[in-house]
Amino acid sequence: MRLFIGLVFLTSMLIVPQLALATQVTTIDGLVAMYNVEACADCHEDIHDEWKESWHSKSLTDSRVLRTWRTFILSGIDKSDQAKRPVLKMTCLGCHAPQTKVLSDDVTTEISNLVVQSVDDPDKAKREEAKKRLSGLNINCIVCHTMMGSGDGKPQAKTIYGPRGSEDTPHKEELGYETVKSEVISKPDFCHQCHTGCDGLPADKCWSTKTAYNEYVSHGGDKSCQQCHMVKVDDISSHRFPGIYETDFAKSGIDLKVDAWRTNSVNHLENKIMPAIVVKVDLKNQTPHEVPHG
Amino acid sequence: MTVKDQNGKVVYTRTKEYAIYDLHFENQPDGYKGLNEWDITKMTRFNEGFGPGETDSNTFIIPLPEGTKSVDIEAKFRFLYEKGEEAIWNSVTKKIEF
Repeated sequence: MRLFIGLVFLTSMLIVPQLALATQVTTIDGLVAMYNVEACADCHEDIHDEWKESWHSKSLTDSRVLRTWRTFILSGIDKSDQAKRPVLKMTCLGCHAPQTKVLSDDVTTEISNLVVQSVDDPDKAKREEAKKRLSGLNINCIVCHTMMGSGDGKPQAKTIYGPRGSEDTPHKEELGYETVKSEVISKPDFCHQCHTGCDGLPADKCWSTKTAYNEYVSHGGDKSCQQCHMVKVDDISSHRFPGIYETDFAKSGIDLKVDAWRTNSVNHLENKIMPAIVVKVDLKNQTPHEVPHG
Repeated sequence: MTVKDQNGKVVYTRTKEYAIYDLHFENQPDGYKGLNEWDITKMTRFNEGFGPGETDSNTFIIPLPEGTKSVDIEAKFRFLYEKGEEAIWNSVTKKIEF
């Protein structure tokens, strides 16, 4: 029993992000520990496994993200007269790892150093080490189901938001957390908290998937983001979030038809009749997004 | 699209690209969050992409060398994630014999 209580306490410590928005966290490892999702995986193993394969789980450490940020840091922030590296919290990190908003400026600067190191350090071992240190920062269960779950930026303490509320769940019994139905978590507005481009700018000033979604709706589209990118199986939404980078998902978006027939080509200048073909290629973009993009 | 003759020799190839460019031209001293050199509010978008729900039809008239007995036509839709990393989303082949 003592072990059980100990485990429950430990689990609570892991799952609870503290929502300590007023408290500054002074180490990366401290923040990673606060947002550790292993406790979630204990019960939601399948969902956790799907998420592990998703781009949300590597929102900081995807190779393209790291290289792009390296460029943004060195050629954007460092060349600015006014901006300093902690501006990352209000720009990139605000969506790629929203939990970092409680980090001190020093730790944010440390993250920026790790980003540059993970790409540019000539020593492969150091690049890998930097990437490993960043790998605990991502968009995970706690980010979406507590921090962002209310949709209004004002999450309640000790609250897990989901598509269904419940008064009698292990969240309550073992962790002391309420499970509250979120009115927004199944709607595009939930995704648009981040997939909206640039903080503080309207969608048409900073192109994003929200801009693409608005276009889709203006052309008569009536599905939510979740209906395509979180397809339900047995009433459980996929947490793999497939996108343009997953061929099996993306290939269904393009219809390709080829018609071809033979003919002759008359070379009237040389008095020759040559073989020839006519090829007609028809493409249709069946996605609600531009290709590429999305 | 690639066309090969009965010996596997490429007799015709054609590529069409769809791309979207977000470029930064103007310099704004006050910039976005102090980013005066890289001001994302000054992004200019050139859309050469394939729009949602759009169709694109292309017809190719391809004269072939004398003596061609057959050709294999292969059309692919490729997604270039980045240089050196691509995925084939769709592929169709046709064979024409003379």
